[in-house]
Amino acid sequence: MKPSFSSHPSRSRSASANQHSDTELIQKYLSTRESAYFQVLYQRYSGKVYSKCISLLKDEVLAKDAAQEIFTKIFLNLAKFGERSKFSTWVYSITYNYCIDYLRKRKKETKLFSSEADDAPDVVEEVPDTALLEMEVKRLKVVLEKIPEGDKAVLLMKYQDDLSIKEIAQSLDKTESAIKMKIKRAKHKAQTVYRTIFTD
Amino acid sequence: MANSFKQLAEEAEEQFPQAPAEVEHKLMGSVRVTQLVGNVVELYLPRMLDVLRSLFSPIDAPPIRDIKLPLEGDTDPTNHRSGPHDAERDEAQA
Repeated sequence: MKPSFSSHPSRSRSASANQHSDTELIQKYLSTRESAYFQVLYQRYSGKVYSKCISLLKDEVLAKDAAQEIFTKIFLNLAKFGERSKFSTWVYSITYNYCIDYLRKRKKETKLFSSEADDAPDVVEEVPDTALLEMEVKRLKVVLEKIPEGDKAVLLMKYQDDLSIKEIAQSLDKTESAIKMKIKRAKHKAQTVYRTIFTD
Repeated sequence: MANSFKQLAEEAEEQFPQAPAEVEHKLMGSVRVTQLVGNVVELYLPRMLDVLRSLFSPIDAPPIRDIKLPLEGDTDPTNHRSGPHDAERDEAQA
């Protein structure tokens, strides 16, 4: 039988490390270089990161590779995490950034986040947040599958992971005004798709 | 206020509470390799550089044991000792 990590001796240290906050775990890892501290962070966020990867990449094998790459990136950059934001925000930013970058490269879809679209005049009507936030979960899931990945990503970043406009802009290397416009358009697309599919 | 996005995230987390075990195996493997390489570089690279420097240096650098080190609290440079050889010399002089 393949040995599992759960039987590893460092697991006992992981158990005690589990009581620490994310920031404490990072500090402890950086001062001791004990991989058990990083492992606890991994266990805390692996499910969230993996489910986001599946949601955006729509492929389990790709999502596995993505999760591994994302956590390797997190591990290599732990010392650079400046506590300017929450650790979870930082993790999700890296996750979205990785997935969007991957989709952009794969599809060569320049319109995923094109500057052309960002600079376009503001002609869409403002959709209230409640229209999306109070949508039935099953329906929201369907709607998110129907809109472009770039739009889906910004909506998830804003409404699911509570990233600020500034954080989304930094993560996607865009200006804050471009992100505001992107969100506005994404909300509009989501509502249009909703009205098209669910006519009741 | 209700937030369907959060409920969607909760559903996804219930479905995938953890990433597959193989991701953890591969990740922790590369973490350990990275740490090992880091330790090797940190411990042995400065020594390797010293060895290379001494090999390619045009002037024979004095062996480390002959470099005079000041004794604690000793301000007289003539009394500086370098190591076990000085102790032997002191004994012979006595």
